[in-house]
Amino acid sequence: MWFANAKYVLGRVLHGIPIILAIVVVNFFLIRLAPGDAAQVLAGESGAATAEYMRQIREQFGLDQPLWLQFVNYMKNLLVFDLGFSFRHNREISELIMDRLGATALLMGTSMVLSIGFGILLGAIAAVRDRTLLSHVIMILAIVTYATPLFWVGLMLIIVFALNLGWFPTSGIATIGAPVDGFEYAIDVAHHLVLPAIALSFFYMALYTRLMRASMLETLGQDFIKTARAKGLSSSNIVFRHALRNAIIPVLTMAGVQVSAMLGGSVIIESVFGWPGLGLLAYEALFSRDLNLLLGIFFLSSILVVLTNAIVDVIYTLVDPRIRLNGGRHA
Amino acid sequence: MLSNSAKPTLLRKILSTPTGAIGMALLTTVILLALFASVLFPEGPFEMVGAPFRPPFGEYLFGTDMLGRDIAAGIAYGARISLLVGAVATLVIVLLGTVVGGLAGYYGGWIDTAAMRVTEFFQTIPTFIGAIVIVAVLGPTLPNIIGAIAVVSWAPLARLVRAEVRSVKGREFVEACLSLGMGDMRILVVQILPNVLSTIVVAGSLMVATAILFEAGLSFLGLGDPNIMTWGFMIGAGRSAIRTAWWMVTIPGIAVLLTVLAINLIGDALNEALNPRAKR
Amino acid sequence: MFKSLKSLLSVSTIAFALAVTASSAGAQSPGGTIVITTTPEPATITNALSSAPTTAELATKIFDGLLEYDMDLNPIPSLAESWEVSEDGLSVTFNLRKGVVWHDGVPFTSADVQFSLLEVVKEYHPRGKGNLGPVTSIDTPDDYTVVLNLEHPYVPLMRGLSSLESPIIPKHIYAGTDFRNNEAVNKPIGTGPFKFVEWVKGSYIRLERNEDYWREGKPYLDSIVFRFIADSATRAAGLESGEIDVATFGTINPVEMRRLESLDGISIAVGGYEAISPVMLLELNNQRPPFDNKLVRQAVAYALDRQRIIDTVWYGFGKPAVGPISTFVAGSGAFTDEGIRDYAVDDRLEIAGKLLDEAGYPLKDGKRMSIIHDPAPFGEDWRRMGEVIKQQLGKVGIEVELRNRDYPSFVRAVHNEYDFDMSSSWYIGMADPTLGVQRNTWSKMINPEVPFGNSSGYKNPEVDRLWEAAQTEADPDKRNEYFHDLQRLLVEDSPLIWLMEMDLVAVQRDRVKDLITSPFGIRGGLYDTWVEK
Repeated sequence: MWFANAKYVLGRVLHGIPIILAIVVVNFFLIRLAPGDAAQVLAGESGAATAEYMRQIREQFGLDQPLWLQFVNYMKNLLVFDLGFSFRHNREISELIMDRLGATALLMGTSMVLSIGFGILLGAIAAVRDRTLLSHVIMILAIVTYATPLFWVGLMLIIVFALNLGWFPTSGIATIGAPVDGFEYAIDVAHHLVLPAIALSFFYMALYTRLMRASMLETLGQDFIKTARAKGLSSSNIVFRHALRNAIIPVLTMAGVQVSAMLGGSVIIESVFGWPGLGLLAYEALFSRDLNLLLGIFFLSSILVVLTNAIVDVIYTLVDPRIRLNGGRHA
Repeated sequence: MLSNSAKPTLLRKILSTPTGAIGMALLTTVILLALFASVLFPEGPFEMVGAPFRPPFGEYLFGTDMLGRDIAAGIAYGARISLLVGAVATLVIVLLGTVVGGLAGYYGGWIDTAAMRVTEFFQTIPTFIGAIVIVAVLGPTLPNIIGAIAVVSWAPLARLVRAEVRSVKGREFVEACLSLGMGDMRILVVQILPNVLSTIVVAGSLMVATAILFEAGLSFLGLGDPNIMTWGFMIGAGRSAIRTAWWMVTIPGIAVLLTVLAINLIGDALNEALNPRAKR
Repeated sequence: MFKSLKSLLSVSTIAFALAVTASSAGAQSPGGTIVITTTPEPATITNALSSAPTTAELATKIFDGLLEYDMDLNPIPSLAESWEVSEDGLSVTFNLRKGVVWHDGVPFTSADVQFSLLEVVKEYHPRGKGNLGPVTSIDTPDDYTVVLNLEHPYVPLMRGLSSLESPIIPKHIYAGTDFRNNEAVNKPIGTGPFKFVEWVKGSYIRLERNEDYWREGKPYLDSIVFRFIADSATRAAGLESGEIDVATFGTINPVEMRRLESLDGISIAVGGYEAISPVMLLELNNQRPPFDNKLVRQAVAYALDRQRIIDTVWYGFGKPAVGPISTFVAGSGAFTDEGIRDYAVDDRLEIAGKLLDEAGYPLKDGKRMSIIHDPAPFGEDWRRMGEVIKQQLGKVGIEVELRNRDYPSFVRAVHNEYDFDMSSSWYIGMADPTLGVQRNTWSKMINPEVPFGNSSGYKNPEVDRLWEAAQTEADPDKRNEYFHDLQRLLVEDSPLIWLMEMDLVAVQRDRVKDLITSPFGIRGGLYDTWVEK
């Protein structure tokens, strides 16, 4: 089973390559439509500049080359997984991204687990206990958390838990000057992670709660559940063995497709909590027209999404055997 | 989606449930507020009418902001834009998502592959950053903002619809229809769509909120249309003064919340009306 | 208002003097760390190659200049112990401090100065041409003497040799390399009070005390951490919780600064921007209608209520500007407010209306003309100012459409393509008008390839003549005459609208002592700064 799955995932990833390339091509030209270039940003930040200075920067960044040549060079490098060099940061782009990837993965991973876990739990409870006070409370909470702007949630968490109660630090990923490895460091990072992870998962938790409830209600109304009831299976058995695994599918689909949304949405959370992640890096890259860096992040994100979608497809088959993998059929 | 003859009964069905009635009442209030904004506040939302930082429920119903603008006027004028952004963006998203997802899920094969490649393409770009890029390239005007929201948001819905359609397609009754020789379109629209409608309605009603919040996020980053008063603009502007004047963020925030709540309640009522099997 | 602020400034100057005296009495205790938050995270931390504001905030701790300046902007010794200007004004001799070593242990010599000024700062620093332009060659008769040879007498030279403008960098590390790609650019080695330790991108930069610093017993602090937090409300929260000790200007919204100021243990660090002379202005496009018409430009100057803008948008962190040359440089005598057209009169709106009538823009349906305003993309306060300007100009029938763009789009449209009507901005006036003010109105600075020059496209032969005369004039009194003439001429012609002299104050926790001890403030070496235990 797992071998077939691995083969399937590999197939999906291979299929993903053309799409990733398409993304690189379109993004390459799309973001170059943005007015202004890196030299203007650097010169602008300086407060003053000479024509010579601008020319030097453009030459160094390769911005004086024709667009097609820049593109050919970029693609050539990409083939050997060389994402290029960020002149703004004076570092390899792959290094820059790798530095931030950990922080992002930690924040996103924690938030996904929190939001999917609680979303499924709360949604299922709301569906099973439909039309009770508990269900109404859950659904109202879901709407409130859903409709509250992320940054507002973040700021409120900071004000209440960091400033008033003093339980958590206001921002950052670790205490500056503290040891950077070992158990103490892990505890320190976890301590810093609590507020941003909660803030980011709120929104998605609400989303999954609503989806789960809707899907669960629908599943509970379906024939096979009625059949199961008719067979005299116990309520909890029905809920857990049959309804839950069926109802989970839309939630998993949504979770899969939300990966890139989460990466984008984390811009605001990273910004509010001073979390040094990829979202913020992409945002800064756009506004400093560090286009190769932005492209690199898009590239990584596209790989991430292709992988996640393949994995979600595999999970489908685990929860609902009626769906068959059809990898390799549409090459 | 809804034929004309179905509308009156549907409306009655929605109004017959307490959630639907509350939702309709709230949404009607917001719509009326939007319609009569220029009658209630003829001087417009940008006029600095009084002293800055007047607290609410005093001289001005909702107080004033840091420049002395009447927040109540902003709420009324903002209702117009927020509803417009939410409605138009959601409409585009739902149309695109349902058509692409429905066809892909039903037909499978190369249509599915092609459609999924296209959605994957749109999905791989981190949503919010994608919208920021589009707005930065095209310039921050209202149509560009709505367009950007729709472009980056339709793909997840398409995949959701596809997954649901695939799941429904595998059920016995669809196979029965096929064996009866029913046409593809007929099966898709008459048999399958009603079964996935609840998912579309729930996801769609959430989209309205997402679109409104999205606009708020862009405004907050300075990529809103500065000549138009929106709730997002007010939240973004009030955010820096959140500790000095809580009402500047909270009141437009509550406006967003109530609107979203109304749309959701209606969505729920709609769901029950359209999908009686969800009832037990 | 004007007077009271002025006196406030002098009172604070006395306060600094007292603080400095107090500290020299030995009240300060060594040790401790301060955390400074600034924004945005710099692209590089070597300010010989960039003059970005945050780069300067960091690099001035790591590098020294030949000179420093007292509160009246007079030169005082730093790496140069003494100096002498030749009688014809064509050469300056500096005697360098002996026994100074770089952070890597290599001795500092005159070769480093020659290399830094001539090959790096003059060529690469964006303001290098302004500060060192007339320097043709530098002689190094011995290891501790440098002689700067000038093309013509250049008074501003002695005002631009601080670590902020002309930092001295190590020749042994940079010579023969591609400067911008040298590894040392982001792991800098200097002679300054603090050594670079680490840069965690997206989080912080940490500097540590230079044990071998040439100022005996200094610096007091063990380390300085610069933290980068993207959100201004979070920065404010960090200051409030004590995680941050100092927040530079622009990191916290003015309204929040006022709230924080009222809390126990937090105060506004006044001063420390005198040598920078920051002025906020509106740029008008003089090359196309309607602002090619002097009457319209004057009408706008009348229509704007500067004091209200300062009060409602900037919460009093500034005062109305008289003209291009600010009161910051009053010490050198370059400033004047005599014979200047006063736009802040009681009947200013009527005058504005009359001027617009005269210019051929009569009032029709409450409207005379429509213009587009591009607020500077420097943060929400600037956008807020755009909204206020829109309302104020609306009162005289000028309909304003706001156009918000991101930074690169803004720079391209306004400063490269000159495709704008009105935009806001600010400039660093520096310690001498030739260095900082000249570029906005000198016609030779109209160059679409270079942002933040004379983007208004203003051309006036008389103004050009005066700027050029001031560049080469050796007599300070005569130069000041030129500056006064320029002030009168420019305010009358109103090619730009000078809005406000900005107070670039920082917010600090009270445990930090002697934060502002020089006219550079936080952009100084901070070697006198200490913390209360």
